Amino acid sequence: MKPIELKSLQYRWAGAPRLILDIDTFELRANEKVMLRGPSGSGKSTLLSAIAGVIDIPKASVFVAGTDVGGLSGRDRDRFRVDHIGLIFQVFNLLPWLSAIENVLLPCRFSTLRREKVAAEPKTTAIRLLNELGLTDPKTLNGPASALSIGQQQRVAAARALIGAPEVVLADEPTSALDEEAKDAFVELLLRECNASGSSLLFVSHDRTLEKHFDRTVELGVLNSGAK
Amino acid sequence: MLDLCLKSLLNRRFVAGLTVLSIALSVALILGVERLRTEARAGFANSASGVDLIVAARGNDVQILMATVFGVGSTGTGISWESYEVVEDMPGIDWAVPLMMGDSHRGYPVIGTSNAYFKRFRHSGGKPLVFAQGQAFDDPMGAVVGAEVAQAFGYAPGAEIVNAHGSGAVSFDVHDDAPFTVSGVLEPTGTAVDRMVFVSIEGFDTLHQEALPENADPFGRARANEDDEEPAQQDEGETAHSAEEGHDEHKEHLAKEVHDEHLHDDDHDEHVDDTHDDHGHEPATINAIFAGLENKSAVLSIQRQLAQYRGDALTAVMPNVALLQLWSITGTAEIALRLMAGAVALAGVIGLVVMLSAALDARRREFAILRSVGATPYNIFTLIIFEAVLLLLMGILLGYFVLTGVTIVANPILAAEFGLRIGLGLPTLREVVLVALVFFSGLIAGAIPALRVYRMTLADGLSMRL
Repeated sequence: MKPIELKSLQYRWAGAPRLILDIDTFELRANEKVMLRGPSGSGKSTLLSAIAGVIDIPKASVFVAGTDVGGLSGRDRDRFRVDHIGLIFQVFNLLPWLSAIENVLLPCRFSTLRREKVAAEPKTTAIRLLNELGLTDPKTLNGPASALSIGQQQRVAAARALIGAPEVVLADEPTSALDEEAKDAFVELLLRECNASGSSLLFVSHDRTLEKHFDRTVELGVLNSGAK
Repeated sequence: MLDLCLKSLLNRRFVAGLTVLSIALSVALILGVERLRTEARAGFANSASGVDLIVAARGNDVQILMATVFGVGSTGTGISWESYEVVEDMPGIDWAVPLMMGDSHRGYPVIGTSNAYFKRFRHSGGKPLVFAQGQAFDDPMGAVVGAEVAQAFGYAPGAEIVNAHGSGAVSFDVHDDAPFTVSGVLEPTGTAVDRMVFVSIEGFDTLHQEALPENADPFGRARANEDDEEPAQQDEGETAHSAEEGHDEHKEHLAKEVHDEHLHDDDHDEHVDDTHDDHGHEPATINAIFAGLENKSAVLSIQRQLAQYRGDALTAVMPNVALLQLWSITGTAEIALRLMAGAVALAGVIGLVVMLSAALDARRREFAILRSVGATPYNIFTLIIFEAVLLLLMGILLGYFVLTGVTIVANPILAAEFGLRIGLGLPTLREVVLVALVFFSGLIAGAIPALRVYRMTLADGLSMRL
């Protein structure tokens, strides 16, 4: 069962004259770490939305963990997303009025599956993940997320995406706000934790210097004939 | 979900606090107006129980009621003692208590009456007056004070008090030549009685010997038999005339009249002394009579009989009917007050919607994050509804506390100025209904931003709008 499989995915925004996504085939294998590279406007965010089931996509075009995402109802897609996908955004990943730990625990709040997959007490797991990502100071962990630096925030977001070991982690340019050293460190930590939890990673970025960390790089401009 | 909502609100505590405050104020105002209204009504209704008819010189029912039961204002003119005796002797009348008014003691009304007042008067649905200390006056210069008067000035039996002519806290014409001695203090009743000073008719009269108007024309009855209208008018004219003359310049003239009056009284006494030997003193005029009936259902016929009485022009007021008239007068003001309270509540609810709506755009990121971790648009809709509910509940609770606080502070003032006391008890059913009205209108209004969020989150998905 492949974590992600795309088959003749076509999508256009309502009212738009042309397709923004036109992908013949793509797959992400189990435990595979793939970098998806492309300039802005190449449909990266739309593709992530399609995989995450946020936009209405045709049936039998997107399969995540063997499930036809396009065939699910809106409500089921919401549930499916949190059960099987961890998401990391570019910036502002956290609810500023929750602590780092509470932010990490959010998926367990909405997904029984993720909560059950966490072997130990969810809070212990959250703290372990944060520790492994280099956040150890109890003040940092329990203070409001708004007090964290951007690098720390992204690591908290990574911990949140990984808690409960979802099949797929989707990262949308999570390093673009970080400086050079922090970028490499972040990607290394993220990859290590994905390996530990057995999650596949689809990492969107336009930064070629990060390519070396991944199993393979896919150029979205080549993959997606809709992006012109 | 609830704790998420709480924490999110806490993050916006300043605006949320203001919203809660505006809801609290509207709730406090609505409940306050309602309580003031019901307490005023209940207080008035309580004061009037036990008295079937109030007899006074012909005048406005409400005015008579206000003057006799609440000690506010005065009756138009006096009525003769003879009329009192006629009323007392009337078939169907169980008891009659004379009332004299027009003096005050340090701002509190002084009532001249007989000891029967304490026996007959009922308040708060039939409770009799009880003496906290001492007893009714047995000598002419004794006085009984209401609970509030006693408390205000620290009066106890034995204290000496001086009354003043006219009402109001500042009096220029003080009867300091005739002090009274407090013989008893009444238990609090929550009615106007608490604010009254009672003295005997005799004692009251001694203050006014030189000033008393009189209108008992020895020939009034004879003339009344000839003509229905004229004597009444003439009586009133005469009274006004003598009241004007009252104090100073026409003392000689007055003395002659008083003398005439005494002749008449003596004459009258010959007829009635055997039946009324309990009335040691008979003043020339009194202001009103409280009467109780043997049979309450006869009230209309007795009222009619009194209206047709030829000696004085009398009005017999049924307290409850006069109260209804009073409500119809105050009704407009009540409606205005309630409309205003309603408008404030509306403003509070609109404030809630404004607060929730204004925050929506700023919170789009928050909603996108929640969506990314599995919150459905429906979850986010409920989040906003939760917020509305929380703000409303806190507002209502705070409003209730504000009202309680204000009531505690305002009660002494209200009691002193208007004889009103607002209860601090649990909310009544009506209040619960009013509060529920605020709550549900707020909830319905809160659904507007919640629906907007629902649509917005559906459209935004996971995209971060900044």
